[in-house]
Amino acid sequence: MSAGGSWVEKHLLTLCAIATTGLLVLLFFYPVSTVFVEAVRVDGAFSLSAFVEILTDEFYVGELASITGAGSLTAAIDALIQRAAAGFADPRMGVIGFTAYQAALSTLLSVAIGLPAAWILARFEFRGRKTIRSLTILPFVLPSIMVAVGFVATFGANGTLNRALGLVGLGPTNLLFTLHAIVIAHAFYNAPLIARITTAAWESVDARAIETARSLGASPWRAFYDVVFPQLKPAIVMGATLTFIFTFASFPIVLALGGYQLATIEVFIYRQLTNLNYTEAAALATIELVISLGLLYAYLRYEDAQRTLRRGIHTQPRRQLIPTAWSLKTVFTRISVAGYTVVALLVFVGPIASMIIASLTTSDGSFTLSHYQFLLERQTTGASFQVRPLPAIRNSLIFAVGTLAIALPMGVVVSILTTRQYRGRKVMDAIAMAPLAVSGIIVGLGLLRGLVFGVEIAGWRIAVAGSLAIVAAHAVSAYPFVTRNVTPGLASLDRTLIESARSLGATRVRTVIDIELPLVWTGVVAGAAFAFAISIGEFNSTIVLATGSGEYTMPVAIERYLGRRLGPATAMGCILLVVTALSFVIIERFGGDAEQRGGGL
Amino acid sequence: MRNNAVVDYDDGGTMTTIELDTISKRYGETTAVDEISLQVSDGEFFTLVGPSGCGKTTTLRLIAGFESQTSGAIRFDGREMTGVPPEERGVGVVFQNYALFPHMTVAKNIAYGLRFTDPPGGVSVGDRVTELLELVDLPGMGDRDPEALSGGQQQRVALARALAPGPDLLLLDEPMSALDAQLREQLRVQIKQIQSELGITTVYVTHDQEEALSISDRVAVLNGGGVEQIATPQTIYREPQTPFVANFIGDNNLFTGTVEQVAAGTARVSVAQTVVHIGVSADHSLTTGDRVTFCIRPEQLQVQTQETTATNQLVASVVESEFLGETTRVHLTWEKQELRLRTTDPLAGEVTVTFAPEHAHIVTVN
Repeated sequence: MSAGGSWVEKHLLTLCAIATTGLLVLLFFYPVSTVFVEAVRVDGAFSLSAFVEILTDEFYVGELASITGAGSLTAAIDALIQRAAAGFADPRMGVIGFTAYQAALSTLLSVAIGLPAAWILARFEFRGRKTIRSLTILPFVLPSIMVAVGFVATFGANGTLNRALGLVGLGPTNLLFTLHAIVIAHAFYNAPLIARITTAAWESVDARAIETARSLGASPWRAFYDVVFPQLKPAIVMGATLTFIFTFASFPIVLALGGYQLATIEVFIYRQLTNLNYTEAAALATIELVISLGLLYAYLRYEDAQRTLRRGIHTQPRRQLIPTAWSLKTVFTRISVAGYTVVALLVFVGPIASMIIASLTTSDGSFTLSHYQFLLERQTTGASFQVRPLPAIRNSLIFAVGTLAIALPMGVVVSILTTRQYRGRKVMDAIAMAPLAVSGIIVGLGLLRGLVFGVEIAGWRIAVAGSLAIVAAHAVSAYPFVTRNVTPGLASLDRTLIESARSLGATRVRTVIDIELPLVWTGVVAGAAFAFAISIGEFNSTIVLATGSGEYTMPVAIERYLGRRLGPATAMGCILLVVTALSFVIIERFGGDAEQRGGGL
Repeated sequence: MRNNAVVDYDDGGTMTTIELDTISKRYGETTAVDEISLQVSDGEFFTLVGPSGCGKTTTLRLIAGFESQTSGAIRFDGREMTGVPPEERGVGVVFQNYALFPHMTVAKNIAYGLRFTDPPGGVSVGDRVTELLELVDLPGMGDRDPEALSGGQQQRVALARALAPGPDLLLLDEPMSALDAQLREQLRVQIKQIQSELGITTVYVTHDQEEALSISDRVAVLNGGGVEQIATPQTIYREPQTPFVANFIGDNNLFTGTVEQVAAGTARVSVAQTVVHIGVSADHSLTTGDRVTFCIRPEQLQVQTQETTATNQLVASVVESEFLGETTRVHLTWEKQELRLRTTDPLAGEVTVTFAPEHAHIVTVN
């Protein structure tokens, strides 16, 4: 037995676990906890006054303020009776109420758009079906501020929608800064998610169960209602709950499309931050987190109860999209499919196309490169305080590479640790996935007020550069996606493969290198692509950490331009689109090669 | 990296005995292995057999070091193995599902263990792989992908891979359960041949009692996490020590009755309303009034076609005859209990069945 190297090898997994936990504490749990401490500390003493203020302020809680702010129980009841007597006329929701309201509407629209897509993807066969199915993951990694620009370009006064309406003699209509725009943009993001989850559930419905129902006398509709629908319902409920959670905490879309009138909790946290009202921002963030965590907990409970593994079943045969024989029924279903396709094109392709068109046209619709020229001029002649495009691109790429360097090993280690069976695995799982539930603004705020401004620990003053903090925040929000991509592969790996390697003399770490990683390599590559894309598009924590510094990224630059003129914002959005797409292609290629290397060994 | 194994790999030269000393394995409330003790001697082919859930696979995993026992000790050549990780135990393991590394060729699979130790006998890695491919009768297949091979071929590759580093101990976990019956018999013979050629100590796990009898030097019958009996296949079959073993290994007929009279080497026992004579071996001492359980193998029950004066006559009625080819298995009822016997041709109706006293084997007395 050799010493030294062998000891490290034996304990490498433990060391990795300790390092990962340490990083998580430093980059996530510590900063986030300082935010909560800030929320309950007023002038250095413990106080809940910030919460009381928010929860009794009509501005935040709407009508509830007449009850929560009544001061005594009897006064609260009086207030309630008064409101009831008035028939709850003209109710005001407040910021928290509005946040929930827009989330509910967004969820409804997402389900309405997502379900037909699931039906088409699960029940029809056509060219490009698999491509479209895998494209449903795309909105998730598209930079949200870019999508927001796309929607501004669609719905604005000179937007593509009004131009199209003008062509047929209608309009103009202004949807910008209305709830409609926000809800449609949220559907852009979340309808594909619902489609994805529901399609998977639909594909796992056993055709023999439907055939059994039919042979027992059920009509096609009845068989759908009795056999298929009960298996789709959990997927729809889960997709809807996730959508609600995501849209409840939506930030860039509401910031860009809501204007000054419509703002969610997240937008208000940001506004309080820019006004340097840290205590109120922290208290608001805490309230938002409590609501989000409650929803997430409910979701996880439901997911746990519904989890079933179905394997080796016979899926229903798909119908050809272009039928061999036409009947009233086939015509009707094909008209439905065609109608939905138009809606889907408008919602999903429209905004991106609008952004590209807007970046190449003037306000009267003629072709121009002036928006790109503006970016070039800004680069060469812009003042130091102005946002220039090249630093934004450079920063985005550097931060993304840094994020990859931290998030990839971290995500893989977490995957390995959470797929092994041991006591406390569920706790580890929850701790590792917590960053998914916490808004980037809160992470950014915690990092800014803590490590960036500097903290004193045992007489040592520790301060971290803003750029490092941005990479940290990106890594924290990106690594769960690495884990999510790697874990399924690891979990389905036959444990006897690992045990065979062990009994042949491989240490635990060697088994990871020789067996597990080569076999889940596609998941690792996909995770890397995700991490890269998340970092490139990250907006929430970046805008907090980049405020007043030269560390701005492409999404931040887009937001800055968007505040003044749409043209340059769309041009920057197009550049972001190209960079994101290129990184995906590069990672795909690199990953593909590495996979082959692993296969050849 | 090399030679970090504590147990030196050597091509069958070293002596390896295994001792399980009252080992138990509990998962929360359930006990998978309940105080099992046994010894496997050097070069022995030892089989753990029992129904699913009897603890046989868990026991094998404890020996391999994939799991650690809750209590008790495992010793290789007298050396305590607690806390020794699998990679340092010098064991070769073959699983039911082959567990070949799908991203490596057959040759890479076989050579994998040689990354951590030198091939035994001072040969090169390439020579060792060729040698093993010949041993398992797959010469020239080194460049194939495992998925391109049949189940039986994959399992032989798995065996070659396990043997490549020259382990002191070979562990086989139901290696043939995934194969069809014919292939199973071929591979069974092959494994037995390779094992005796190498003289490697082997622990084999199976739920198939026929497989256990045919391949092993000694067999341990497990049930409910504990050992029912450890003996040679012949003894296990002919002299089961517990009703479980009597029933689990092969077809059997069990009777329980009261001892009425004891004489030298025989006893009169009343079963239901019938008095029968059974042989009593030196191992058992019976006294009048004892409750005794004994068994008679189906092949020891004779069907009488004519009037007979034989000692033990049971008049039974045929329920069902299963024609199996070389024999027919006949199910009968006698005194409300089921009997089984073997004949050449199917039977029907009422028959007289006899057995010789010496063919009755006493299982338990109390």
